[in-house]
Amino acid sequence: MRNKQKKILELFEKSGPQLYRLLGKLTLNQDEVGDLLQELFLRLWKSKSFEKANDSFSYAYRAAINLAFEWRRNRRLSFQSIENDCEAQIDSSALGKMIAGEELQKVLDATMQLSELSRDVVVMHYIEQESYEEISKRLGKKPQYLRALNAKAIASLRELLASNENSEVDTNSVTKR
Amino acid sequence: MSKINENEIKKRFEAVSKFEISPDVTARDLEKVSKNLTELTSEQKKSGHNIWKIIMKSKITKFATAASIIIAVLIAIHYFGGSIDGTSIVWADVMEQLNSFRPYASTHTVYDEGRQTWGFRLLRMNLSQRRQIFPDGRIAVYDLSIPKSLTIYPEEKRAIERELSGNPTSDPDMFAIARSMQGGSLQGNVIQELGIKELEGHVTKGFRSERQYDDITVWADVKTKLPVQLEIIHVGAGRRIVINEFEFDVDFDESLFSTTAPDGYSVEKTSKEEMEKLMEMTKNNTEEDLVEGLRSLAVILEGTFPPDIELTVMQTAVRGYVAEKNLSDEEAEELLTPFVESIRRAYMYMEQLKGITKFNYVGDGVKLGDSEKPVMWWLPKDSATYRVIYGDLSVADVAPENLPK
Repeated sequence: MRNKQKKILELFEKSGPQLYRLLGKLTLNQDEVGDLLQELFLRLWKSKSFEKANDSFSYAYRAAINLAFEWRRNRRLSFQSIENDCEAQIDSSALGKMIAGEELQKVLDATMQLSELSRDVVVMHYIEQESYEEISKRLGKKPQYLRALNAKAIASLRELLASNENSEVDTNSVTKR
Repeated sequence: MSKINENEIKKRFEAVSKFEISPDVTARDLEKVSKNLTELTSEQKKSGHNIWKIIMKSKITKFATAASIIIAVLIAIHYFGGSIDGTSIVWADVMEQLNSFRPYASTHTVYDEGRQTWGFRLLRMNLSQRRQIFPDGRIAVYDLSIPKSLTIYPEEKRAIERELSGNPTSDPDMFAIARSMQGGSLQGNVIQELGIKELEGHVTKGFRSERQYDDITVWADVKTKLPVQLEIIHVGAGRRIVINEFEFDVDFDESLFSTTAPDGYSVEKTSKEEMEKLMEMTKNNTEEDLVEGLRSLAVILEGTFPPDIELTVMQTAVRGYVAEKNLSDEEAEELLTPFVESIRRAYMYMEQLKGITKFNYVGDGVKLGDSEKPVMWWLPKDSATYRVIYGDLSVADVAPENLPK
C-alpha cells in the first residue's frame, strides 16, 4: 500500500500539471479538466495494471488520452451548442474565435475515431508536439513506423472530416423537412 | 463535401496544442486534486466513508459542455515544491545572463512566408569560433581569430579551406541579438512582458521588443533566466527566425572547430591572396558610396533613415519595399538594382570602416533632408576630427567636443 501511495503521489507531483494540460487540450473545456484529472488518478489508484507498470507516466499518459476521448464520446450524446450558452466568453483573438467555433472540436472528434495507436501518436506528435524519437521511446515503436502511421492517420482524418461534414448536412436536410 | 486540406488539419492541431487554462483555474484544480489524492491514499483514513466518492458527485457523469472558454496564455503551477513565481524574473535578469558570453549550441530555423526554408544547428565555442551543421550534411566552421573558414561535404569527402582576409567582421551572435532588444522599441524602449508558458520542458517567461523592422521575442527559463527560445521576425519581409534547443556551457571538443580539412578529403584552398583580390574589388568604395547608399535606404523607406544600418536591416528594408509595392520578381529586379548596388557599396565601405575605426549610427527616425540631425559619425585613421553625415547627407568634420550628444 505504501509503495502504491508513494508511486501515485510521486506521479502527481512530477507529472500532474502535464497530465492536466493534456486533458485540457483534448477537451478544450477548462470547467471539466479538474474533475477529469481527479477521475484519472482515481482510476490509476484502483488499477492493478498501474501498480505493476514500470513506467508510471506512460501508463498515466495513455490513460489520460483514453479518458479524454471517452469524455468526448459521451459529450456528443448530450451536446449543447456553445452559442446557446449566455455565459460563453470568447476571446477576441483569432485563436479564441477558432476555438469558439467548431473546427477544433471536429478535428478532435475525428481523431477519436482513429485506431487507438494512431490516435495516441497523433495526440503526442501534433498536440503535445513530441518528436518521433520521443514517441518511439514511449511506445516502443520505430520512428519510421510512427511517421508512416501518422501520415496514414492524417489521410484518414481527411476522410473522416469530410464524411462527418456530409453526415451533418444530411441531418440538417432531414431536420428541415 | 470536399476533403479538408492536410495543412488545415495540422493548423487545427497546432491551435489545440496552444490551448491553455487560466492560472487561477489551474491552481485551484491542482490543489483540489492534490488534497483529495492525499486523503484518498492516506493510511490514516479513519472512517469507512470514501471521501473520494463524496467528492466525486461528479460533473464527469453529466458531461456538461463548457459554460465558458477562456483563452489564457499562462502558467502551469508546480506543487509539492512551491509555486514557480513568474514575477520573480524581469528582463534585467535575462540581460545579466546575456551580458557575458558562454559556449552554447542552438538550432536556427528560418521561415519565409510561413514556410520553413532553411536552418542549421550552431555550436558556438566563443565569439571567434563557430560550427554550423546544415540539414543537407554540409558543415561550415569559422575561426575568425586566424581568420579562416572550412566547409566540408562529408558525403563527397570534399572540403574547401578559405583564408579570410582583412579584419574579421563580428559574428552574428544570439546574445547580441537579444541584447539589441534594449535598443528601442515601438513601445518606447519598453520591453513587453508576455506572461508564462511551458516550452521544451521549461517554465518560461516571455519578453518582447517590437521595432519597426524587427520584432524580437525571448522566452527565458524562470529559474535559470537563460533563453529557451528566441524568435526574430523581420517585419515586412515575411521572414521569421526561431532559435531554440539551447545547450549552455557546453564543454566542446576543440577539434570540432578546426579549420583544417579531415584526412582523406579532397581539399580546395583559397589563399589569402586570392581572398584579398576579391576584397580589393570592394576597396574602391568611398565615402561618397556610403552617402549614396544612405540616400537609397532613406528613399526606399520613404524619407526616413532606418533604425539600424546592419546588413540584415538593409535587406529587410529592401524586402519590405518590394512587398509593399507588390512587385513581381522582374519588376523588383529592374526597379531595385540601382538601390541594391548603392546599398551594397555603402555596406562594403562600412566594412572597411569597421576594420579601422568604430562608427556610430544614430539615424533612427531622422528624416532625409534634415540638416541639423546627424545620421552617423566615425573617426578616420590618424584624424583628430570626426566625419559626420547629417540627414541632408552633407558631411562635415567635427571636433570631438562638438559631436552631437
